[in-house]
Amino acid sequence: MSNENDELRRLLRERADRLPTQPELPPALLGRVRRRMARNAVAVVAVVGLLMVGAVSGVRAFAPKHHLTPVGQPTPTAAAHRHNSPSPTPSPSPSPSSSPSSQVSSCPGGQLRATAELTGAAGSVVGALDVTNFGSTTCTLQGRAKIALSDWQDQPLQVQHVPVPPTWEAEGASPPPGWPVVTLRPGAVAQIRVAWSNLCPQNNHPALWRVTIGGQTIDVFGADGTSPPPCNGASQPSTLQVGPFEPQR
Amino acid sequence: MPGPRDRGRARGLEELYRSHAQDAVRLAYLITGDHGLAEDLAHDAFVRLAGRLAHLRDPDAFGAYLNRTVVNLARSHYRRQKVQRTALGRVAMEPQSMTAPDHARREELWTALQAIDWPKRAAIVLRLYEDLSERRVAELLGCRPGTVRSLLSRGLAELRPMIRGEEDE
Repeated sequence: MSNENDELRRLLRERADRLPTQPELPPALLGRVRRRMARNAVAVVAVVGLLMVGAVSGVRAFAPKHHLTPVGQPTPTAAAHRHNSPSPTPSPSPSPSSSPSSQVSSCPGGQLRATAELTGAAGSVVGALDVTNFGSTTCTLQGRAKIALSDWQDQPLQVQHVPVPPTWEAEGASPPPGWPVVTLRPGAVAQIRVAWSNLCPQNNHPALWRVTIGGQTIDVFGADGTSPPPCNGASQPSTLQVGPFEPQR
Repeated sequence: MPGPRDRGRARGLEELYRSHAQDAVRLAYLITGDHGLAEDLAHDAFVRLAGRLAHLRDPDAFGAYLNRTVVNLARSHYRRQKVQRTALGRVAMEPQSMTAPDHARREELWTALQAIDWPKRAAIVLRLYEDLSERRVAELLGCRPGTVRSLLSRGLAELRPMIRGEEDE
């Protein structure tokens, strides 16, 4: 075994040594680094700005996380809201925006970023996907996003999607203004509540989450710290409960 | 006209590049088997890392950060494009310029190394070339040490016939 390792080690070093040396920093690369530094500086300023905006509505950011219903036990009102049809009478625009939703177009995927806030709980992975409008224009989201899961080697995971009602409904609260349209001003965040159960065979590598909005698929960041749910029954499908878009609480 | 601060920064970047870029290109090359791709990955990694140099927790560990970024970029590359078959085809088409039997066997071993799945190949390169511990390899690949042991074992098993052939000579 040691001889085998030595042989491979020699081969790798020999191959690496064959590469031509390039001791000088190419000017084009220096330019790229400078642009990157400038971009990062702008991003820091933008993040600080967003934090300040967030501080204004900080109470919402620190609101307790909602509870999701375990698979197979929908809330009494779930069936009534699975269609999630738009309200015939437009109502005032929702938080986080006061713009009238009827005057703005739906959000293109290119101006959205998605992050996950997930935790393991009672045999499931529950939490929310936060969708942030990183564009410079106000736009709207409505209905349910298509969510795809892959394992750590990017092989698709077969999950059965189960629509669930929004958080406000599960908690018996009144609908937010503008519902079911969620209007996102630049920097504002919409939420999708999710609960994932029963992945068989057991797999502890964090899964890759992707969400498709407006025909564009975007990677979900921040999900790599959470292991998939445990296998609770190999004969049962893996299920992913997905709520509709709703304003961040 | 760049000021003294800009010139100083540029000198610092050049020094970082001189010290670490070549090692990063080598690592990327051993993982990908493609010199052009390796340079692209190493340069991308350098740009990303140097772009946030001021925010690095330990700037002295730039080389380690750079290697980690190279591995991450290689992983993303394979995830996105699934180019393993293409790379294998490209390697297979490389002219076998060395005609001596020993060199031919080494070429075969190199080709075989490029043909195995990228996680196994990356584990072998990080463990044997970079001399990293299994735990450190696991950190870089984003998996458990047990998975690294499995990747190494299976990867070496796939290469064993070539290596045995060399030893039998």
